[in-house]
Amino acid sequence: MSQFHFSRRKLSGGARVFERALEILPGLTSWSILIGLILLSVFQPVCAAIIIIVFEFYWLLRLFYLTLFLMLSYTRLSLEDKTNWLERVRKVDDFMRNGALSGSGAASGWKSKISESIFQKELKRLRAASSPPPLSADIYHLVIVPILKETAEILEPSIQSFVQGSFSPKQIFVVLAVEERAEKAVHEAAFALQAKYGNRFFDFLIVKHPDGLEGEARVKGANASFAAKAAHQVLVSRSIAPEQVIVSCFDADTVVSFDYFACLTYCFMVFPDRQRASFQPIPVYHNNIWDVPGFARILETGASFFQLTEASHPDRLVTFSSHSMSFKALVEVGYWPVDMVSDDSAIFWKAFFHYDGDYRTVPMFTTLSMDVVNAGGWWQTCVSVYKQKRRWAWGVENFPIVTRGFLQSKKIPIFERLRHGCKLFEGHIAWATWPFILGVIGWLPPFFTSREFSDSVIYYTAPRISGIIFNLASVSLLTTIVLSLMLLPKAKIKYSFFRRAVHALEWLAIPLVAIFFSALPALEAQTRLMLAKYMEFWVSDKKR
Amino acid sequence: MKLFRRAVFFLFAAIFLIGAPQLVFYTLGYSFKAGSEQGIVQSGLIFLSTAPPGAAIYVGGRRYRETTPSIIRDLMPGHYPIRLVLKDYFPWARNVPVEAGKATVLGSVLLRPRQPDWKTHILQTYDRLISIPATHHLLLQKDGDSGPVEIYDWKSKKRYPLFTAPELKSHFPENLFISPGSLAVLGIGKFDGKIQVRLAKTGEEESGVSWTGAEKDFNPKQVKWDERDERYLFMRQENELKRADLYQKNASDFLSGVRGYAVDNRRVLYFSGQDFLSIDVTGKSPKAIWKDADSFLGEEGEIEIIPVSPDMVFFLTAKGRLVTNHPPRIIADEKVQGVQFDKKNQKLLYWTETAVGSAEWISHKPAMGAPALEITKKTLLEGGRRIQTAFWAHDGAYVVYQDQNKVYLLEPQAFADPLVYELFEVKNGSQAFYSDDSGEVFYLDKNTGHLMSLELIPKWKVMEVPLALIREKEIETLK
Repeated sequence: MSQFHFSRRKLSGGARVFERALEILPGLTSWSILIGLILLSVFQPVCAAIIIIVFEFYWLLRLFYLTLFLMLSYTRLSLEDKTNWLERVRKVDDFMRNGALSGSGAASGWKSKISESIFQKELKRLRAASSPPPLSADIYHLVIVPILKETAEILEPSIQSFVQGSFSPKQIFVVLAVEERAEKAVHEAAFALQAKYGNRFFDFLIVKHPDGLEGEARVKGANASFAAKAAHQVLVSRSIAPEQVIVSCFDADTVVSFDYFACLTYCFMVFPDRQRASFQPIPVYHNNIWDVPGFARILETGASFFQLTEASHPDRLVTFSSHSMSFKALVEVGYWPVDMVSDDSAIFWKAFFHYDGDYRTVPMFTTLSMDVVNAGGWWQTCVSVYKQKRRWAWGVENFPIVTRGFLQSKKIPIFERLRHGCKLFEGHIAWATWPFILGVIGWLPPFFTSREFSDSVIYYTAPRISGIIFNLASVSLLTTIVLSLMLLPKAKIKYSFFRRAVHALEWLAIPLVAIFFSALPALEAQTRLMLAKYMEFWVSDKKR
Repeated sequence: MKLFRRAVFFLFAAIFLIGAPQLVFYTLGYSFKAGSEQGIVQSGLIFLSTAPPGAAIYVGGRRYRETTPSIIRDLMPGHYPIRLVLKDYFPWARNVPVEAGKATVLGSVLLRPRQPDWKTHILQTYDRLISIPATHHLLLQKDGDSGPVEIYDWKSKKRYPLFTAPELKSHFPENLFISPGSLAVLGIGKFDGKIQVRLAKTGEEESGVSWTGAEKDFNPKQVKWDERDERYLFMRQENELKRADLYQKNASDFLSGVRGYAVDNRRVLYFSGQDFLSIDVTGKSPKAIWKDADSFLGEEGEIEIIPVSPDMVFFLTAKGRLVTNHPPRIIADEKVQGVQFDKKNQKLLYWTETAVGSAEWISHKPAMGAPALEITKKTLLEGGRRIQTAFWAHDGAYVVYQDQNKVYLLEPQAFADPLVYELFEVKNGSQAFYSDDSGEVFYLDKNTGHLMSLELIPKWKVMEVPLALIREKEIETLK
C-alpha cells in the first residue's frame, strides 16, 4: 500500500512548485485552445475552418459513441426495474450457506430473464472468488448526511426513505453530521429527527463538527470525515468490524428508492473485491423536477445521463455525488479529504493511490433521487445553478493531485496511469471548451474572411459540412429527449402530457444552457485554480 | 461488455482516422475521380444567387436539380455555360470559369423582368429632381430654377412643401443647399434687407439666422454641415470659411485659405496650402491628416473633399483628378466628374463624361506578415456620350448610370465584357436617382415630368449571400 500524500497542503519546495504548474495546466490549456482558435479564425481562417471541421467530426463520433452507451446503460437500468433486490440478497445468503441456489430460474419476461442471467453470472464469479461475503444479516449500512443549512423539510423525506426501504432499518446506522456553525434551527431540526426516527434504526447519531480544526478547509469532506470517525468509535464499541459496514455519504436531499439498500447490499456481497470498491448509483434529480426552470431541468437530466453513460465503463468510473463504499477502505485510506471541495471524486482517487491502483467503482443499476437546485426565483436559480456547476467543475482540483500521484507511483501500471490521467484531463478541458467551440468559435472563420478565403471552396463547403454534422447530431439529441422522458418518474396526474412535451422542447435550448451553465462555470473553476484562487464549499439552494 | 466496448471504440477510432482526412480533402475541394480522369483531383464550385430567387439552373444543356440560390459543387477546372431561367424574366446566360479550389461567386445576379414594374409617384409636372445623398428625400422643383420646391420622402411616400412660413414663400429660396445624410435643406436669400440663412427639416419649423452688416454681398458657393449636428453651418466664399451658429444666431469667420472642405463626424476636413487637415466643429483640436497631400493633386485651385469612412477620403480636383489618402493615392488622372462609394463592399464608382470606372480595396492576408490593402481598378464602360451620374446597384454588383437623357443598367463581369441594358429616358435636364434601399430608380418622365420609378430589384425577394463579407471593418483595422 502506498503512502501517497494526497493533500496539496504541506507540500514544500519543488513539489509545491510542480503542483502549482499542474494546477495551472488545465486552465492554461483551455484558454489557449479558445484564444488560439479565435486568433486562428481571424488570421488564418482556412486553417481554423479545417481544425473546426475535424473537431466537429470528432465530436459527432464521440456523441454517437456516448449515445450508444447511454442507451445500453439505460437498457441495463431498465432490466433491473422490477428486480426484488432483497430477495436476491436472501438468495446470495442461501448460496453462501448451501453453495447452491434455492428456487431460482422462475423469471418471466425478457427483462427478468436477462437480469436473472446476469445474477447467475455474478454468483459464478463469487463462487470462483476467494473472498466470501458476510451474510446480509451481518452487514450494516452507515449513512452519513453532512448538513450545513438544510432544514427538516429537506432532511425528513431522506430519513423517511431509509426507514421505508425494503432493507431492515435496524441494520442502518444514520449519522447526521451537522456543522457547528450551522444555524440553531438546523441543529434543532436534526435533534427533532433523531427523536422521531432514532429508535427505528440501528443507531441515529448527531455529530457536531467544530469549525476551524487544524488542517481542514470549510468543506463537506471535513464534516463527513469527522462524523465517520465518531461513527467508527460507536461501531467498535458495539463490536462491529469495518469489513461488515458499507458507508454511504449522501447529500441531505438524497431520497433513496425502496430497494436501494438491498441493491447496495447485493452489489457489495457479489463483488469479490468488495473491500476495495466504491458503489455508484445513478443519481437522478426528480425530487422537485417539475418545480424548477426548464434550463435547470435539462441540465440535471444531462448530469444523470453523463453518469449513466459512465456506468457503462466501470474500469473508468469515478465516484460522484451521493455514493457508497467499503467502510474498511474508508478507514484505511484515512477518510475523505478534509481540504478539498470535490470530496466525492477525491475519495476515489485517494483510495486508488492508497491501494496502488487496486480500487474501482462498481456501478449500481439503481437510482437515487436528489433535488434540482432551486433558489426560488428564476434569476436566483440561475445564479445557484451556475455556482453548483462551478463547484462540480472544481473537481479539476483533482488533476494536479492525481497527476502527481501517477508520476510518483511505481506500482500502478503505466497504461492505467495514462488512461485515467488522460481521461481526467481531457474531460475537464472538453467541459470548459467544447460548448464554446461548437456554439460560438466554430462559426467565426466566415466572419473574419479575406477575399482569398471567401473565394475558396472551403468557405462554401465548411458551413455545409457543419450543417450536416449538426443535423446528424440531432439524432443523438432526439435519443436523449426520448430517454429523458422515459427516465422521468411515473407521471403524477398534475404533470400532464403537455408538460412532458414542453420538457422535450426544452432540450432545444441545450446549446445555450451548455455554454452558460456548463462551459462557463467550468472555465471559471479552471481559471480560479490556475490563479490559485481556491474555492471552498458552497451549499446549493434547495427548496421544495 | 468490455470486449464489445473495445470493439466499438476501435470502430469509432477507425472511422475517425479514415474519415477525418477525407473530410478535410473534401472541404478543400479534393475528390477521387473514376474513369479516364482517374485519381485525386481538386475541383471548384460556382455559387449562384439571383434576385428574385428560385431560378432554374442549367449547366451546359442539363438542368441542375436545385434552384437559386445554390452552390454547384465538384466542378473540374474549366468553363461552364450557365443559364438561369425564371418565368416572366429574361433568361440569364454566361460562360462561367471555374478554378481548382476556388469558388466562382455570382452572388448577385439580377434577373430582368419581361414586364418592368413602373410606378407613378406624383401626377404633377416637375422640372428638376435633386436627391439628397444617403437619405430617402428627393427635392422636386417646378417652373424652372426659381419655382417652388417640394420634398418627397420615397420611403413614406409623403410630400411636403419646402419653407412653410408664409413670409418666406415669396422670397425664398434664392439658393438651396443640401448636405449628404442630412434631412435638412438650407436656403439662403435676402429678406427685409438682411441675409437670411434658413434650415428646413421635414415636418419641423424652420430654424435660421438673420445676418446683417458687411456681408450684404455674401453669396456662398458651398454650405455644408454635419448630418448629426445641424447647429453649425460652414459656408465658403472664395477661400474664406465662415461658420453660422443656428443656436446663437450669429455667424463668424472660421478658417481662411481653404481650397476645399467637408464636414464629417463633427469635424471640418479641409485642404489648406499643401496639407489636408481637420478641426473640430467648435474650432478646437486642429489636426494634420495628410501632410504634403498637394503633391498628389497635381494642380492648384479648388478641391472637392468626399469623406466616405472615418479614415477614407477622396479628393476631386477641378480638372477631374481623383485621389485618395490610401495607397496608391491616385485613382484617375483627369476628367472625373463624380464618385459614389459602396461602404459595405469598399467599392468606388467614378465617372467621366464618357466612361465609368470602379476601384475596389481588398485586404490580402499573406501567410506571413501583416495584412495589406490592395486596390483593383477596372474600366466598366467606355464610349459614353455625356454621362451625368452613376450609382452602384444590387450590393455593388451592377451599375445604374445616366448618359444624356437615357438611363442604363450595366452588368460588370469579372470574366467577360460588361453588358448594358437601356432602361428608359428622363425629362430633359433632369437626373435620375437610384438607391439600393428602395431598389427603385426615380426619375421625371420624359414627356409628362411626373415623378416615376422603375423597380430594379424586388427587395422582398432578395436573399443575402450567406455569410456576407465584412470588409468595412478591415479597412479600419488596417489604418
